[in-house]
Amino acid sequence: MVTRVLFSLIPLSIVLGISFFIEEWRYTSLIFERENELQAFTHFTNALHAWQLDPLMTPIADLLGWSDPSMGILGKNAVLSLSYFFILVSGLGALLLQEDKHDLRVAAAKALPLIAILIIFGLSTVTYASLCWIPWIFVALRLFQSLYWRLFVASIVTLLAGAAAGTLGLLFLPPLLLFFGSTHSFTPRIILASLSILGCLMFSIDTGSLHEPQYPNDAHLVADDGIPGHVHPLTSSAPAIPFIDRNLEKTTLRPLMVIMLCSLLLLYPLARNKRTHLAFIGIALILVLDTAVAEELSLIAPVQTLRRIIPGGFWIAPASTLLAITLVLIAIFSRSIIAATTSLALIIWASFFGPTYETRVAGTLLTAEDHELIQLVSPQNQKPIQNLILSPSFSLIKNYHITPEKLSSLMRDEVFQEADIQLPELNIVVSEGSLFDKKNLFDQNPQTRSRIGESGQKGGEYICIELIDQGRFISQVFLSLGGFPTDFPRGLRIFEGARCETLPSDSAQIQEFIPWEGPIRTTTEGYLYYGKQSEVTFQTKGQTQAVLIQQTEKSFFDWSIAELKVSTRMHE
Amino acid sequence: MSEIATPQSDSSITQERLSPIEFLMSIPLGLLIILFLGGELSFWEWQRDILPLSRSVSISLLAAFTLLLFIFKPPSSRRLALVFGVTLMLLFFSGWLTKPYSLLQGPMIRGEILLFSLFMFSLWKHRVATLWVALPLSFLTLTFWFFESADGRLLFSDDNPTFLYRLMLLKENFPMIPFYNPLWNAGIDARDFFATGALNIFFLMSPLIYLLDILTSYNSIIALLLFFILPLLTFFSCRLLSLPALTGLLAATLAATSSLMWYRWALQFGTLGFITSTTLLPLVFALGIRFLSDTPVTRRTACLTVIVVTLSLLWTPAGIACLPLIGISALCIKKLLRQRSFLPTTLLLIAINLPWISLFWAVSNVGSFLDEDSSRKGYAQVYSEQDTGKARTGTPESSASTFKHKKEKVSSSKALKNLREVANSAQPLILIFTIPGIFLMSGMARIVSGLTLLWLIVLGSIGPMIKPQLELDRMLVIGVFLASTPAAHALNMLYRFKRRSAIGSLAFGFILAGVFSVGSIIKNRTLVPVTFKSQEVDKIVHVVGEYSGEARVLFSGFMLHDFSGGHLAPLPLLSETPIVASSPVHNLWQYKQVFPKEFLTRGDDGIKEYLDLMNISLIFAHEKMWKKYFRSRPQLYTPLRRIGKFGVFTRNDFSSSYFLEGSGRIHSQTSSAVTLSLNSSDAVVKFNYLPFMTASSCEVAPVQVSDTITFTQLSKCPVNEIITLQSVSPFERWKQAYLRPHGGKKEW
Repeated sequence: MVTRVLFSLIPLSIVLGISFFIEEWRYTSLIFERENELQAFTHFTNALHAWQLDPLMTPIADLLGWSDPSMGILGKNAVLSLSYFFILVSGLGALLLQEDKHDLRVAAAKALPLIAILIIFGLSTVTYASLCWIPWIFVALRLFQSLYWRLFVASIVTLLAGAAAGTLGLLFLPPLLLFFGSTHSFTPRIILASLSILGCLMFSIDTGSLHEPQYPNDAHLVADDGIPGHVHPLTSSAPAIPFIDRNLEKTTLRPLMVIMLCSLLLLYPLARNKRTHLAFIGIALILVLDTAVAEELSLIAPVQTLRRIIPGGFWIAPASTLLAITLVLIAIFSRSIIAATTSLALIIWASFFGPTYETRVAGTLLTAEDHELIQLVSPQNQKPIQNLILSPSFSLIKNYHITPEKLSSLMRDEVFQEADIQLPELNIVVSEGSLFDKKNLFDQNPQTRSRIGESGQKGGEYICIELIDQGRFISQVFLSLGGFPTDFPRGLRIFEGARCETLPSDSAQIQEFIPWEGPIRTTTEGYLYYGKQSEVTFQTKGQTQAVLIQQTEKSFFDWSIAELKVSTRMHE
Repeated sequence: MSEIATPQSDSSITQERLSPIEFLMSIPLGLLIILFLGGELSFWEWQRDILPLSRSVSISLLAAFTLLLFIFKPPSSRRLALVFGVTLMLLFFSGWLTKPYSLLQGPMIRGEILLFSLFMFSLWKHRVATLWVALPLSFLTLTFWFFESADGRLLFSDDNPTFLYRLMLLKENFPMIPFYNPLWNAGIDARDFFATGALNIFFLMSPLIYLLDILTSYNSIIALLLFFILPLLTFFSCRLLSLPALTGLLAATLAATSSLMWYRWALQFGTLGFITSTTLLPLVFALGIRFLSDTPVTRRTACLTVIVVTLSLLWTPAGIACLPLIGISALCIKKLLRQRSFLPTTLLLIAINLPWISLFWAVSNVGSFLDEDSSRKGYAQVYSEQDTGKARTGTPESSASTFKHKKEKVSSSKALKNLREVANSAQPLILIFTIPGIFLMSGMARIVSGLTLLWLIVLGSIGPMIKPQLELDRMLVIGVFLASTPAAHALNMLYRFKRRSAIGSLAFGFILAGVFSVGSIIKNRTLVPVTFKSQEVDKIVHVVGEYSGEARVLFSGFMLHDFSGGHLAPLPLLSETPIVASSPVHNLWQYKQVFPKEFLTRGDDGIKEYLDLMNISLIFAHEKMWKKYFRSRPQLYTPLRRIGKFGVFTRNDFSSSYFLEGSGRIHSQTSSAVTLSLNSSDAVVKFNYLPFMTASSCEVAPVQVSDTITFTQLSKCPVNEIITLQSVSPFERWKQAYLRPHGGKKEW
């Protein structure tokens, strides 16, 4: 029987092996050492929390000589991911062995969800650390008859998972409740038991000495989710600003969730245990509510609400991991045909249409160069590198490829330098259709504005500023929106050159801020964040006398400028 | 006992679903409640108004329609909770939850409400157990959140440091109050323990205060009061009214999460006297109703009454809230006299309270306070002006600002505005279930609670227009707080249904969402700012103690909430240095410059003379103009350092002396006395003269130094002997006020 099960794993191993050798799944998470503990993170599943090896994996890591993994395994953590993956696979195998019928076709069908997970998630260490113990919980539960023994063993295994997965371990609660709900009615004993397991999870979560940057209240780190004000948990210690890119998360996961729900709905007639199948449909529906409806409604749906309520939950982006957990549970509980069909649908989509993991969620894949970069730009070179890596600011560094020089200049120019240019010293050219009055830009009246381009933003509008004095260069530009805070440019492209008439064709320097999220600012500790979008300011990159500022996106709102400030520097 | 509460049993509720006619009447009723108390009818977001008609027309039509349906088919009092409960569903979809000062902060709070509702709905079979686990746990959680948010720092918003100071003074000086406090503004009358209600929190927490250092136990006092004593007393008062234990639990939770305004007064404003008194009020009413019932009152209950009523009355406006109870008691005097313990209790209450009330009346100029021009601002108004910078308009030349809040003409629209402000900030469950709750109560409990709430609504809505200095808008906050008991009684009815109840589940969602919302206030995530002591305070305390020498320290301009969000009051005790500032506490309601006008008009010379008179060695300036003033005179002042917004300056060529005439030595200055010795038999010391001062072995007399400064002359003193300058005893002050040989009460 064991041979049969192992035999079913051969195709999987081949896929994994090939992928490993072509390094297809590398760089999905970063592993490093902190306080003599092996720790890692990935932006895909866990926005901020570091995690550590669980007690069982620690000796294995020691045996393999991973005492200094930040140097040796950086970007090549596939071994660890594979280890977790095989714990997962062997757990499923053990479950199959416990069943009365052992059939190769069944085993192969139940392996399909794992292939789907592999294709969708790659070798995300944290994801597999969260998933790998799930089958073992049910193995333990099936081994013992006494409820108390089952609870005890389940708690131990859950604790292991929690220790490895950190806050993500909380996501074990739904499958556990699902299991209890499908096999028992909810009795006080079951509720107490679930709460005990939850307690174990909470106890097992070690967030370490997590540093929480003190971002100002008007800061933002990800694209606007369209909800007025900032969504934040009512009571957690998390900063009251969002930092998980909901737009990206939704666009990435939406098709997968919808496919899963549709498959499960269509396969309902085939389900043997209707109650369990309904539970899966329920979970899929919850995931669809989280990713496929307007954010105004997602906000009050269970996943986002739980994220706000569970301590530490606001740091994680749970939808992807919940999808993975659901797939594992489908493999465990569903009929082979259901598991196979649902998984195949997801596999087909992910293979042909789905985005690869490089573009998923706050989308960060680390390379060795990145590691070098981060070491250099670590805030003020005084904070431990982990603080920056594990902070939400990291996505800004990645998105804009901020160099150490850029970072230091950002910190230096936190406050706009005193503007030293007056109206007669500038030539200004604007695109056709503008409602433009040069005097308005310098009248120090925030209620008078100039509209650049025609009504609304259509992309391609521009304003070019040129210095008349040949002895100076433009160093910084500030376009104030005054009393028109919604009229900010949705995307910016900056061209630098000698004369406006030759721009943008002979531009030597180009900067792009697409979309325009606001100027990059730093906290007093050196953590980066986006300032208000209405504060349009940037520094020039080279020695330039003319700057062409082009708006690139579309919007219902005008692009307005109430005041213009330009600071310059002398010839070097 | 049984006549106080209506006994209900599960069997009494036969129908667990709303009939069509009941559902029909619940919709206009719900809309009426939302429109009347909210002032608008909107969908999802409060800006999305969906009212097709004018507000007054809509209210009239809805009221008429609801009334007609109620007349046509009046529901029994036991089914009122269900009929009113439908409002919760309407409220969920309305924009109520998204208003800026709403307790439940939408739009996202709907998620929490839904989740907890689903939780209760799925566990309906175990609803009572769920409530008994979840609600007590919520008090523990709130306590945890509070300490987590404090992170070892003292609560320091607004009056919190002032109350901290008062408790420190009481610990040092009680029972010898009021007294002369030389540490502030060259000597002040420390008498505000009566008016502010500081005594009730002092008595209630005295074991903690005397056993531990107040600086370390202050946060615990707040947490104990808000999250332990408050729910406990509310629960106990419900039990005294013979209401079910579950009602008590629900009432305790609703009371602890009654409104955003409650926490504004408790945590932001830090008015502990008011909070303590209000916390005791449910018990006061329950005990009062107990006396009015036919059940004999035991000695233990009578003793409890004396203690609770006395503690509650220590914040005197609490008496105003109790007027309906007093009125009803007067009408039922015959019944009361049949209670054997009534007369002894009343006499004991008078014996305990009359002395301090009479002393309070004499020393605090209560009469003139009540008659004054009503020009003072409310707390909220001062805050809003601070935010907009209006409060900073005073100049060195102007010692009083131009803003003045006139007494308003009584109008129904303003009264409704006052009512809606508090209603919007209240836990919606209280607003919805209070009326059915009152109807569910029986006998005297129904009459007393109904009349009291009506009285508080009228007083809180109209009172601020007539006597703004009394801050009567607080009566609405008290009203919402007290209404938690009847509301909980009606809510309890919902949890008697055996079949799953959507309304009951939704109510549970609202209850727990209220707990989380209070958590968000504690975590400083609402429009009510709660500040804790910053490092700036420690730095100021250090610099004051280090660089002042023997002299005093002055804070220029107008100090209001500039000391880490609170008042400057405790600085003398924290730094062990006497301080001079516009005021130590929140008793000024318009800009007041620390330098008196007669000195300011004389420019630099006048300011220097005032600083010499006050014996100032160190100056803190936080207003731009004053920082500029001191910086621009380097020959007179030297900048020492910057601490936050404060610039610190030392005086050049300064030599410290507390003697205007004569010479001697100041040995010590405590919170209630100055000890000194003189080199000659006569001297004038730079301490304010107040008419109740006395000095050992000396004669004390006033010396007018300027229009506003009167120092103390000591004469016929022994030379080189220790002399103590302090207040006469409280009894002496009472005697002087009421038993003067030629009559005529003197203001002390």
